[in-house]
Amino acid sequence: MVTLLMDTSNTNLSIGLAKDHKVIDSICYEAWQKQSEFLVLELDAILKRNGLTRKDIEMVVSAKGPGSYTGVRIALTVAKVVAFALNVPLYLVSSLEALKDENAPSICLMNARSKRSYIGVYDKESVIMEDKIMDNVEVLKYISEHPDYKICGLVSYLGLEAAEPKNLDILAISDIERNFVSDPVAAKPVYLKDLY
Amino acid sequence: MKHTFTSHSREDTRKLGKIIASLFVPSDVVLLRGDLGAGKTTLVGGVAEALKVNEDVISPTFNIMKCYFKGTLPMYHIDAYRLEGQNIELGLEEFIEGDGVTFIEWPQYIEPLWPDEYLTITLLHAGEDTREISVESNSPRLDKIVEAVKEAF
Amino acid sequence: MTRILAIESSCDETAVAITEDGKLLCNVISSQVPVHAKYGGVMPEIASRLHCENIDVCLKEALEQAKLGFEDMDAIAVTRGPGLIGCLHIGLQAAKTIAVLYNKPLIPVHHLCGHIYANEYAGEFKFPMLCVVVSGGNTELVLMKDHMDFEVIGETKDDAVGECYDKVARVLGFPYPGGLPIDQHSKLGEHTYNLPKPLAHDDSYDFSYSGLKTSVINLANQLQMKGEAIRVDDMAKSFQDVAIGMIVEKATRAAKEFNVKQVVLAGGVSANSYLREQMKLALEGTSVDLIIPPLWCTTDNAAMVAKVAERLYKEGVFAPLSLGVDPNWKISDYKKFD
Repeated sequence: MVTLLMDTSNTNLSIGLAKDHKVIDSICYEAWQKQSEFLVLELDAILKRNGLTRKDIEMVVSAKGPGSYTGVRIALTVAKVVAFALNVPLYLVSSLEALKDENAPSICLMNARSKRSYIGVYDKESVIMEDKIMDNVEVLKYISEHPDYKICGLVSYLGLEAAEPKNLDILAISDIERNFVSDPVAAKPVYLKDLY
Repeated sequence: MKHTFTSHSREDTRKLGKIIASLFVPSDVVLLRGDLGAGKTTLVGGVAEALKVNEDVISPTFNIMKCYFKGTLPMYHIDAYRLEGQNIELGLEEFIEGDGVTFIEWPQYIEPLWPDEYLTITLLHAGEDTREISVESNSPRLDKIVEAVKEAF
Repeated sequence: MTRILAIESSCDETAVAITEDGKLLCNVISSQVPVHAKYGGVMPEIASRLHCENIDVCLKEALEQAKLGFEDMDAIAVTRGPGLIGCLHIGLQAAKTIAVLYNKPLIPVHHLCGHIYANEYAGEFKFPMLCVVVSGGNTELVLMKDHMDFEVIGETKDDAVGECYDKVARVLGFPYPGGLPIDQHSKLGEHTYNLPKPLAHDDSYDFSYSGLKTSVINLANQLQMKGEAIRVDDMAKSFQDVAIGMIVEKATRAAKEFNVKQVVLAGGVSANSYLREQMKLALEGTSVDLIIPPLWCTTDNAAMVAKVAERLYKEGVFAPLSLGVDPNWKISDYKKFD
């Protein structure tokens, strides 16, 4: 029995299988505007590659946003349909948290456009700062005020560098209570930009 | 830098589209202004042809944004006409700041989404088939596009 | 026995339908129209968000109504285009996921083929047949010489007729969608405003609505500047006469030129009572039949997608799992999806 892991929150497509909280197979590549074409193809491939069928999926863990609106919806739609069809538990993880360093307090960042960032701060399983949108000027100030925190994410837009995220490894250990979705049918992404 | 000239036909307007298309790079943005029916969509059609997008370019008003992925550069054609007075989340930034060239009609209605650097093309009626067209860049990087238009017209 | 599960999410309705040998077992629709009404038109980002929220709800409802499971299906059909790109993605992911989990073939369906074939729930097709496809995003005349044989003989060069209705409704202070209020008000008015007929000297079967839209807007502005009130009923009538008149004229001419046995109306604007009445009058006394779709068929739904899918299933038209959406998909390419 395996856990299905998926994340298409930004330009990448990440899909993997986990057993006992460890990733046993995965694939990750740049697929901007192509996630809709390839995600389910890769789902089929990863199951077949491991000699598995739908009956072997016992749980689904997916990133839920923030990020690219299109991207976030793609993985989440697949996750919702799998969870509903197979009647298995669904866990949704913040796409920012998925970028964190397992072993250090992490400032997780993504480009929110218009000179702003999506930011969330995590320390192992604790949430130090809930996901929010912050002006880049404020973000850089926060970073300078917390020099011992690790900077995580695709941060070249801020002129910074960060280690390659291990998002699937994080998803594999994220089946914790605060991520549990009691009604997968009603699950929806987190966009943080909800002006209507 | 700015250059103004007279287009005498739809073909001239399409030709302008083809000239500027050859100089676009990913995330370039063009603000299209001007009179109703002055040829904004015709211009975008010329660009599409030069980018080898083998699809008809028609008004994106209903869809707000039409995407064309089959050419050498992705092309996004936005019509903000319906967005006047709306201050809502549109999800357009990831396309405007993305990997293709974006045309925005009625740009004044989504000014917060404009990038720092952009080209402005204004088309005005000047007779039955004649149009007065001006092409203006607001940054040195885009000046070369205006220069190319100056050379051709 | 063939069971098809069909999913539609091209615009502002999330829909799921299940058919069994052509019989409709359920037709679930979650409409977003009331949400978009306050914006005067479909807001694509809102629509995409709602599709993502509603897709499982619709799937669940459909299975419960039909008392079946995904494993009971023979194929999964989905609208691949044309439509709004973010919205199409949602239906496609759902369809592909079900297809992979349950090892079922995936059938990509063209949205306008769906609108045309919705008419099969109302009557049998006779060929050659002319389809008048009119909606918010599309205006085309399609000639069919046989089943699933589509030739576009005329289309709009700019705006679709439904889009024009919505814009004019906005100018006249009517709610969205504009079709029904304009249709209702025009019954109370007279054709007293002079609006130019677009492409009046054009022999082709193409349409143009942006000029008509501009004329209404300019006329309204002029009246406002003069301090004159717009007689909305008369404006609605004057506009509708021209907008619908153009469709009826070209469709009737085409029906004659191509010697068709039947004309069908398809798409959201086919619900317009004036179009239905004028088309009926135009074909009266001729040997050409007219199929007018029941109202439930005119709005987006998945039952029409299932109808098309049945035919594609028989022909084995299946898509690979790398299928992507095509928001600009042309009806004549309905079998091309790579």
